[in-house]
Amino acid sequence: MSVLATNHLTKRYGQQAVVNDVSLTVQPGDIYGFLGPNGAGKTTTLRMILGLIRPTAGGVSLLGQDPLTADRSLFRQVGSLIEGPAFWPHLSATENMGIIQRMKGGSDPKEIAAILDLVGLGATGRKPLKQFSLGMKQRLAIAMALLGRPRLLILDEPTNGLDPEGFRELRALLHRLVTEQSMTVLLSSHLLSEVELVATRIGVIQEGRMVTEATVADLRRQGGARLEVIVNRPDLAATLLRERLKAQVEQNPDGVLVVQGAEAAAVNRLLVRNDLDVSRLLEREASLEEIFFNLTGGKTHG
Amino acid sequence: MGNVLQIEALKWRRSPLVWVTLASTLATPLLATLLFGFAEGREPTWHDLLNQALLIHTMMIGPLVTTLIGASAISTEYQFDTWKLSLTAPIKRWQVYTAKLGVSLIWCLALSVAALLGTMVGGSLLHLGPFERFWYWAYQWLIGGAGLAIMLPFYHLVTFVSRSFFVTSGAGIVGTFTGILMVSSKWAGYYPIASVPLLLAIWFNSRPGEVQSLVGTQPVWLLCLAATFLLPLLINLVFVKRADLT
Repeated sequence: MSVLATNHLTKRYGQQAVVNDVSLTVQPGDIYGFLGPNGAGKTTTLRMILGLIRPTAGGVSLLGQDPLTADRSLFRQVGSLIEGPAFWPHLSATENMGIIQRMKGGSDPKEIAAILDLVGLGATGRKPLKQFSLGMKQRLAIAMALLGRPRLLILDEPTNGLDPEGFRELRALLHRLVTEQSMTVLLSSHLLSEVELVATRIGVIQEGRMVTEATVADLRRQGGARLEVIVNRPDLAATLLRERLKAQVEQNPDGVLVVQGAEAAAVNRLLVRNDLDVSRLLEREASLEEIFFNLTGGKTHG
Repeated sequence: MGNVLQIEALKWRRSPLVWVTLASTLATPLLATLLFGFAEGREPTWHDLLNQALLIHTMMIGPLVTTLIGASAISTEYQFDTWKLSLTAPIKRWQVYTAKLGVSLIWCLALSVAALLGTMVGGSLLHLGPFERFWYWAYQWLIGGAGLAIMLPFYHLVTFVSRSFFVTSGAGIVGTFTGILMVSSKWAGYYPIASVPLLLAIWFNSRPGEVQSLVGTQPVWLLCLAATFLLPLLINLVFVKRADLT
């Protein structure tokens, strides 16, 4: 059984569909990367998943139950960080953690200390929150989501404010949570470079619609192979490849032709027969960045 | 439910709201004590001082402080974006709101007691002699605090709709000063913010002529008070259960 599934989930504000017919599935043990440009509908989808807002149509199965009608104890098994960190700012980190812990039915100060240590805030538990940097606040929000050892962890743009070291630590932490504590993670981001290093499965959302959902390996296969060609007359070569081989050809600013939909041997034969000098012909897989770029129509930022 | 109340109380710990409302409330005994301390040619009694303080508390300071409590309890959750923490926790939405109302009510009553104690300290400084009938006055002040707290669900409702501390505070300030004007009107029994001193007048310091000159009867006024409390409370509960608060 999936840990999380949405079924044709839709949210409209007036006539505008912010999330449109989104179906995604997160399996146990996944680190699911939920990708999309800013404003694509990621946060709205996550808010519907957590029952914070009601869908206009469609439904959510969270750990097998509808979050809007299920017994609230369901939320003991879910940790979340949605749309940036939030705290009661007049309280310390430990006190904020204490409130969330009580909400989840716990009261063990050792758990709080252990989780603060885990996210690198062990020495700052009693420090006033106004003295926290954005990165520290982000770590604290992640720590709050980890309270009560949830089965499913939902993190919305968790790397905002984290430095590269912080991101590396978060990646290691997520791997540990999945392997050692059998946790499942849903991680949203607008940056593929962050997600591809950690995710086992990826869903891409664009303008409120799910564009694709696949494992990282499948997604790479979807992208297909590309040829990089360096030739003495790239404009002529591009025209020949388009007309004769019906290939898709793009020319990089540095003159390299990127060819899709044609065999390397056929490309080489055609160019040589037309007296063009081929100085390089390289076959390579499309990067996830390129695939994501293609899927989202080139919008990786809002 | 006890756990949810404790959680709400923890959120209030060291909150600026607690200090601001406590300091504002203590303005009541300070004002009353100063008024009597500097009054010429008059020998004040405990009864005079406590009555004067009660009037200041229920008609001016108390309603303003109640507005602050009502507005702040809801608006800070919007301001700090903390609704999402409460609403993704294993707690029912109605419990989240009821706990807020509960802690607000308790704090309103506690502030009334603090104002009474402050007035007693002020009276001691004025050497008014031994204090008598403590429970009579404590009961009267608690009734006053409860009367003020009746407005809390209304202030919550305004804050839910406006999502703004300032809109509710503005409404509270206007309501308080309108109440001061309304209390001398024959329709005062129907004005909820002014109903507290009215109730107290009826229950404790009844001056029959004055009460009889008001439009309406005691059961009708009490019914209005109950509706003032229950109607917004009901709307708030439905709103919290149904609305997208984040």
